[in-house]
Amino acid sequence: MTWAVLLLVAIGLLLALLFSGVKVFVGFLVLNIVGLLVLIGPRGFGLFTNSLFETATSAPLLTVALFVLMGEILFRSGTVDILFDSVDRLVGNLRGRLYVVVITLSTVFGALSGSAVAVAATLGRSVQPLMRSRGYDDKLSAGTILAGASLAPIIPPSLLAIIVGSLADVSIAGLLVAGLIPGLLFATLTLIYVFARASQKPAERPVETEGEAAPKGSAVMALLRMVPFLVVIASVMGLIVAGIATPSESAATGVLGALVVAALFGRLKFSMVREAFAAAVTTTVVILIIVCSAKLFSQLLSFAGATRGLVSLAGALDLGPDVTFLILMVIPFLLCMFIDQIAFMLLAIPIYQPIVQEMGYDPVWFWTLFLINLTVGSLTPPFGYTLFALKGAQEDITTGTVFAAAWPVVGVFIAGMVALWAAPILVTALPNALR
Amino acid sequence: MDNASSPAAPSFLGRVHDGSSKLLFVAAGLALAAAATLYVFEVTARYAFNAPTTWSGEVVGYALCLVIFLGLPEATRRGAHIAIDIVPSTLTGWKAAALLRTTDALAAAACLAAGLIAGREALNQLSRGLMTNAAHPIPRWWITAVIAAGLLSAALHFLRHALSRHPKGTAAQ
Repeated sequence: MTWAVLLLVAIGLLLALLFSGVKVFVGFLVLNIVGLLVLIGPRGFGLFTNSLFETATSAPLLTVALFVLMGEILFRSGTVDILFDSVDRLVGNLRGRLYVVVITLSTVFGALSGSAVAVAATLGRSVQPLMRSRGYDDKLSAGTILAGASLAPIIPPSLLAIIVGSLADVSIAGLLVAGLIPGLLFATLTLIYVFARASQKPAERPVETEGEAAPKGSAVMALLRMVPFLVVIASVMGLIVAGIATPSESAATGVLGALVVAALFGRLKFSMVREAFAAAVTTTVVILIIVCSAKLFSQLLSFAGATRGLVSLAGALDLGPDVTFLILMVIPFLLCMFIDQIAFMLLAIPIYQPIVQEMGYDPVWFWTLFLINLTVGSLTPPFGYTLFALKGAQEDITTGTVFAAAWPVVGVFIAGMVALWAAPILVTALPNALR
Repeated sequence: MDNASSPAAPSFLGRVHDGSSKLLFVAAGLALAAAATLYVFEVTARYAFNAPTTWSGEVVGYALCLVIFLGLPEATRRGAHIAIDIVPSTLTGWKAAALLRTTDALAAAACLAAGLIAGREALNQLSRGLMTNAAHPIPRWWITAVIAAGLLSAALHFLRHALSRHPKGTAAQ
C-alpha cells in the first residue's frame, strides 16, 4: 500500500469511529494499535508504550492542568463576581454599556482561564439574564458573549496553545504570548461591530434607567479591587515574557496567586479548593488522555512514509504559500464545525507539520492562526462547544437565536484573521521580543 | 461530556472497583497539588536562594503521569470523556442502546489491549532493570505500571458500562 492509501484509510477509520460516538481517546487508541499491527507487528508494541510514557511524563503538558486549576479556583471561589462589579463600575454610564462590560470582562476572564466553554457558561448564567431584563437585544447579547468567550483560547493562557506547542514542537511560551495582540484585536473588532450594528438599530442599545446604571462608588476603589487579579495576570505572563519561569512554572505561581486572591476576598474555603482540584483533575484527564493516545500517530505517519510523501506532494502541486495556507485554514474551519477541536488538532498537526516547514511559514504565526481557526470552528453552527455551553447555561434563549448570533461573530473573527494574515507582525512581535 | 455513571446498583466487586477508582482520583489530586507546590518551590529556590533543584522537572513529569492515569478510572466511571454525539443523538430506543453498548465494548477492548501492552512492557522493564533516562533515574516500570493499571481499570469501567447501560446513558459533545 502507498502512503496516500494508508493515510486515507487511517483518517477514514478515525472519522468513522468518532462519528459513531466512540470516545475520542479510544478512537486514537484503536487507530494506533491497528496501525502498529499493520505497519510493524507486535514487536512495535514497545513503541506504543514509549509514546504513552513520554507524553504522560512531559512536564510542559502539566501547564494545561495548572492553568485549568487556576481558572477553577478563581471561578469557583466567586471572586470573579468582584471582577464583574469592578468592570461594571469602570465602564460607566455609556449607552449599551453591558456590551462593553461583557467584552472587557471576557478579555480579563480570557487571561484567567483558557477555556471558551467556561467563560461562555459563566457569562451565559450571570450576564445574559441581566441584559435581557434591561431590554438588550437577545441576539446581539448572545453574539457579544460568544465573541467574548472565544477570546479565552486566544488570550494567554490558552490550553490549545500549550497542546499545539507540545505537539508541533514550537515554543509554548512563544505561542502563549503570541495570542495577546490578536486577542485584543478581536475584542476591539467585536466592540466596533456591536456598536456599528446598534447604531443602526438604537433599540438594541438601550439607555439604562437610574436603578440599572453603573454601580455607585469610587472608580479608584473599583480599580483597587481589580489589582489582585491584575497581579495574577501580570505575574503569570510577566514571568514567561521576562524569561524568569517556564510556562508550567508560571502557571504554578498563577495557582498560588489565585489562592491568595481567594483568601484576600475571604473566599478561600477547603470545600472550594477540593472541588477546584477535582474539576481540574477531571479536565486534565479528559484532555491529556487524548493527547497521550494520539501521540503515536505522528510516528506512524513518518514510518508509513506519509510525512515525506506529503512534503513531496506539497512541492509537486506548486500552489504557492498563500493558496496552500488558505487550504490549510479552510480544512479546520469546516471540520471543526463537526468534530472536537482537540481531536482534529491531534489528527491534523502531524499531517500539517511537514507542510508548514516546507512552505517556510513562521511556525508561531502559522500555529497561532491555526488555533484561532479552531476557536472559530468551535463557535460556528451547527456544532460547537461554545454555542452549546451558552445554550446550556441560558435555557431561555433558543438554539436558533444562538446560531443566528454566532454567524456575525464568525465574520468578525474571519476579518481579524485576514488582518493577522496580512500583517504577521501582529502575531510575531511579542514572541520575537521573547527570543 | 456527560456525567452518567453505571445506573444499576453495583455488586460488592463493583463497589470495590468504584471505591478504588475514587481513591486513585484523590491520589491524582494530591499529585497535582504536589506538582504545583514543587514548581513554586523551584521558582523560589532558583530566584530567591540561587539554588535551583536538578530533580523538580523530573518529579513533576512523573506527577503528571500520576494525575492522568490515576484519574483515568474515575473519569471513566463518571462518563466524563469527550465523544462526538452527532450521529448517536439522532438514534432512539434499542438502536441508541445498541450503539452505546457497542462503543463502550470497543472502548473496553481498546483500553484492555493498551493496558495489557503497557503491563507486559512494565514486566519487561522490571526484568531488565530498566531505569528512566534522567539525571536522577528511577525504575521505569514504576511509571509504566501506573499507566497499565489506569488503562486496565478504565477498561473494566467501560465493560461495566457496556453491560449495564440503559438506552439514555450518554450524551457527549
